[in-house]
Amino acid sequence: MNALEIKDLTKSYKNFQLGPVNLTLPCGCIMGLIGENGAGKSTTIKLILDMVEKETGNITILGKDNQKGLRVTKEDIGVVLNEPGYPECIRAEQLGKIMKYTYKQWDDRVFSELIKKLKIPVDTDFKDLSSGNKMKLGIAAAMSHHPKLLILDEATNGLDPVAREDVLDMLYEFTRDETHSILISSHIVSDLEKLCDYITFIHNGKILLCEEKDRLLEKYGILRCGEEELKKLDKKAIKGKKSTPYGIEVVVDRDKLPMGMKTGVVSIEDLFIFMIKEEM
Amino acid sequence: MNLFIDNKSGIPIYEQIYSQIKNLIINGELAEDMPLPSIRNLAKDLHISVITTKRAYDELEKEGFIYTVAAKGCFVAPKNIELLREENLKKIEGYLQGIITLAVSCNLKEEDIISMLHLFYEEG
Amino acid sequence: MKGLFLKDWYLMKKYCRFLFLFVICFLVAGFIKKDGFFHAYSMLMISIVPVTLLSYDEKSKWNIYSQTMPYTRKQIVSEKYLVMFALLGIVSVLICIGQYFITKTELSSDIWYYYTLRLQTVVMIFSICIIMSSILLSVLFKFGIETGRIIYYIVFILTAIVANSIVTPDTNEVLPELIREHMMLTIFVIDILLIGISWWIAVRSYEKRKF
Repeated sequence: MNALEIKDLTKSYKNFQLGPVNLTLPCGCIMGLIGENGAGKSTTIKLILDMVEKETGNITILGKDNQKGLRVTKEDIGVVLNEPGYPECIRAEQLGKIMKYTYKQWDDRVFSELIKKLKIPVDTDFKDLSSGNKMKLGIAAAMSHHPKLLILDEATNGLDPVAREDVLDMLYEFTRDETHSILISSHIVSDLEKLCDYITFIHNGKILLCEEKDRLLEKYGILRCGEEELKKLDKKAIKGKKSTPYGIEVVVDRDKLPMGMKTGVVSIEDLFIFMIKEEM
Repeated sequence: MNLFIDNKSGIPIYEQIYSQIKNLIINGELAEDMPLPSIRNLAKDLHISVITTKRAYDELEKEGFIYTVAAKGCFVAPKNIELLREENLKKIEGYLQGIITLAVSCNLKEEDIISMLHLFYEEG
Repeated sequence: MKGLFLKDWYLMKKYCRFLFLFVICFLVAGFIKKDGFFHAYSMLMISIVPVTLLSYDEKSKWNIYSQTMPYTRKQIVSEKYLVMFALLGIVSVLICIGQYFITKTELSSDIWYYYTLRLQTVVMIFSICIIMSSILLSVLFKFGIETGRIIYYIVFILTAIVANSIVTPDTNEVLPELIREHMMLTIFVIDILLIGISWWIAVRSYEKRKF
């Protein structure tokens, strides 16, 4: 069973067209949804959760169509949005009680442990928490009802490096269980580079690619060369390039290069930047 | 078992895992029938993708270094004399190629190399 | 829906304390001054609470976040209606109880007759408040707080005027015989109808609303 299947999803706004989005997240895997601000990451997530009405396409969550019985499916989904929307006067313990009566599988013990682990202040009203702590509280709440699918929208953005490391550790722990999956969107690519099994690039509402991270790193490389060498390359091999006064850096599809050309490793972040610039 | 992953080396991570576990098995540090960490746990402990560890384990199994028992996990395969011999032969071929390359670069002929080889055999 | 009630309970504890205090003062004043105005006003005041709760929801973006939780939009709408019922119900019951004791101390005979008359007044006020509140809730659910707020003030003033002019000693005489005979029943039926329609509209509009 796949944790998430999206087929031919589209949604139009006045100045923006999302889709068609095709995406599959197998159970037990982590997918990173990478895109710049306004690329359509949050819209895609809202469409998955049926917070926004889709135009065309099919979305299946944990084997169930998201148009049927989504209320029950949501018991198994933990969500962290880029702006946690908890009532301003609520404290951590009160939030725990509200969630206890919201989710059938809410686990108070897990929630207390996470609050301790992430050092979230318990005596402060929600509105007085720093944005990092607000996010941490949202993450703690999302992980405390034994969800099978975690959806995180820009959830690590406001966190300091130590907190980010803690959260990433928690996400690794979460997927030790092979029935657990994560969809995490971010524009901070370095967070996702190590963590993810699958990478999806989204730009201006279009999916540029959706592949296993390891295959991406094998398929693409960086070639450092001069103008003449560049001209000799197959146009289809070039995914993006950057010129400096001392040479050109080209992101290439290794398969389409002549044998024996030496290429360096490309990071997911560089791959993304080069591809976007080429699109623009 | 010590495994070290170098993200910056340019060598695919699955290959690093494959080589390191293979060497540990050949050296005898991993004994016969010893259980290996599950694909999932290894991935999470090393902070890498499960797809990567699965690939490394698949390669190891294909080459005969490990075997899988359904619902129990992966174990070190009994030492296959043939396999070890193959590995060592490959290493020797590698060294020989290196020797020849060096010899050519300082103008040594085949007879010179063979004489040196005789000397070493007599001494050792 | 328990989680939603609990959340609203926390919000009320924090933000509506003074309002509750005012309502109690007005209730007491109504018993002392024997002027229906105070009781009517206390009911109007308490009917603000669900609206206040809704505006806090929107401000904190809870209305967006709650959609990631296992609640249907129907449940979210219904919870506010139930809160409204509960609050108005509690205030009305308090007024009824108070009126009973006052009637008992004032009169020695025909207690039940006069008490029933007074109850009818309470029921009238309750009906007006609950209908107004329902309509308000459905407007707010459809349009959101910003636009709804303007509509709210207009409705509030209109209702105050209407409530004041309806609840007079002459009211009983003006109504047709049939309705007067089955006053409670008629009011009950009208209430159910109007509230039901407004709830249905609220649910439909909220389900279609874009965030």
